[in-house]
Amino acid sequence: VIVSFTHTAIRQLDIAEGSFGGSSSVSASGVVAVEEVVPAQSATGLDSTLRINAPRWDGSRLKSLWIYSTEDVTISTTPSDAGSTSNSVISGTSVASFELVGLLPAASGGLRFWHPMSATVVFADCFNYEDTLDNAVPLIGSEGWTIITGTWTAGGDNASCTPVDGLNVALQDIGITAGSLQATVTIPDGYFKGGVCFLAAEDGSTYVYVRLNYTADGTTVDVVSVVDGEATHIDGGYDGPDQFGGANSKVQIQVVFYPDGDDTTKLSVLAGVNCDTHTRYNCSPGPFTYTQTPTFAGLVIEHDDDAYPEAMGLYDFIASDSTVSANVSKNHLVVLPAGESSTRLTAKIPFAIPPGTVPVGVKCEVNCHGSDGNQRISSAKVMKNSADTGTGLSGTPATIANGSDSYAVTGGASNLGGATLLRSDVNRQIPQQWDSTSTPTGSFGVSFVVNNTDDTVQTVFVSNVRITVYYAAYTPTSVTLSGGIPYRWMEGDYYDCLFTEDVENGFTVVSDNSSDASITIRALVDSGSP
Amino acid sequence: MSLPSLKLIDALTTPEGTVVAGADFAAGQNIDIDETMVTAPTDRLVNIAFAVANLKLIVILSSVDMTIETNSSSSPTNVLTLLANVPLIWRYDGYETNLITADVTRIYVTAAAAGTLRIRAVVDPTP
Repeated sequence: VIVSFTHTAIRQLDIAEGSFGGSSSVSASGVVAVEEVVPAQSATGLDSTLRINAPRWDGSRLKSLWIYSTEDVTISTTPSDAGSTSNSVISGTSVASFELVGLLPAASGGLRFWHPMSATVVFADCFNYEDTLDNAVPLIGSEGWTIITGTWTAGGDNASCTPVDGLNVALQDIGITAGSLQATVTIPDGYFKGGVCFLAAEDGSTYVYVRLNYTADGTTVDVVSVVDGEATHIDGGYDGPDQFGGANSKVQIQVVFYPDGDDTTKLSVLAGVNCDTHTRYNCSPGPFTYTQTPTFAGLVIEHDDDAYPEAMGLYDFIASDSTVSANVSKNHLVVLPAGESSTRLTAKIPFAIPPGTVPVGVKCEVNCHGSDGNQRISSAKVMKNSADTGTGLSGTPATIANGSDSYAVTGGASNLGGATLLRSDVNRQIPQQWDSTSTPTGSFGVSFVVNNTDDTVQTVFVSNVRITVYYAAYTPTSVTLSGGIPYRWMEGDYYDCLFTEDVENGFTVVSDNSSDASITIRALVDSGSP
Repeated sequence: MSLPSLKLIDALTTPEGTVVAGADFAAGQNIDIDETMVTAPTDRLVNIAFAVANLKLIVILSSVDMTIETNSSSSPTNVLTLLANVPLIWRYDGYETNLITADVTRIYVTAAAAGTLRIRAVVDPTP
């Protein structure tokens, strides 16, 4: 049975000698009727907004429309939610940036960093970077790693730094309960260009004071650091003379140790003056920058030192590509030492919302698993760069319990976005509503805190960090209605309908009036064939 | 003595009932034209003039399909194509753009059959 509804419009002019006008009718199989009240402007001066969800029609099937308000209001079509067919994934130039700070255990693994784009890698310091270089070997084959090509192009006079053996360890595994520790390393002529590495452990709140005395020119550099149960490096060499060295130059390392009230606390100190048998590159004063374009295929850093762990900073891994933006994918392998050490992985994926479009949603997907199969991401958060314009994203960081199959989802606060964490074998996504009134630019970021609370070294594999921004494919139609003046349109009218787009998600009505506004909507729509 | 106001009635009858809105229009000048054409007109001149900026309301109704050209029959400023018994209505406080975009000094009427043309306009002569 085909049901047909009819709208009959009458437009009539009453004049002294009578009246004249006309009527017209249209029929269709779908009818929409809405009567709502938009609250008056609040006392705080904020606009009152009413979301009308009911109307939904294909713009080409609209036959008749009547919208009437008793007060002045602005009525707009509401952009569709993310994920609907009318949305588009953002495209355009994008830059992805990762910051990764990891700790490389001694001879126990490595740090693999891969991205199929052009890249610049900046090492914040140069600790044992020779190892980095020597072992930056490609992996080929089943893992999909691609050969690294290119040449390390750090500046400086590499040849002037002749390798010297035996100076790597000045202080080693000396347990002290308080007081100071001091050692002096003699630097042969022209060899030392800065870079001192300290690793301290065993205490969760020890305050370590380090003084470096460069005896060649009398320069003294004081470096302080709070060792919080983690291996820490102190790059005091950066603050020293850039061209330190010379005949009988010495570096005096003094560690003053203040236990936190516990006299039994011991401090193990590994200190090294970084000048060994490898061919040196100039990495002082740092940062050391590696740039390989246009096809930086990947970087694998492995630590083959069998005696000493290395604290290493790897910052500002920036990959840019002019064609890939929506599906920026990365793979990270972070080796975490046993205990409470943690590392933080942050991904930033900038974007720009095209003019005239409306962002409606953002989602984040991450694959993560530990070497034992357990989840290792303890928290995650998708956020909007605070310096950017537009509405930010926020949400409670998600937690994936170790070994759990449950997945906490962040976000969802008001109209903001959130993140969904995924296991490598699960694909879930929770699109979040975006503030339809904002036009943000800038970047989204997703940060993770990866914890290893096991008593064994764990490998955490984080891959496929993907942030997708959806935007509406059309600009919502917005009409300011005057109170008491109906907007009416019927097929065959002399004027085009103002609402030509599909109405997919109802209307949003905003009132700035001091009185409640009664809204009446009547629409006739051809529902068409199913 | 003021001119009589014109009351515009908009009504829509739907399955849910009838909604009605009305508005009165009054200004210092009313234009009334009731022209009966006993034969099918071709570029028939009808004298009517107003400044479009001063227009408050205009209702044009023809009993037959009709073409109205403003200001010139050979090079009209605007061409309005009317359907029989479907009024063309524009109000200054409405939501549509006026199809008459320039001042009118005269109009020329063409139709395939005889019929009646009725025009009511409210104009503010001292805006």
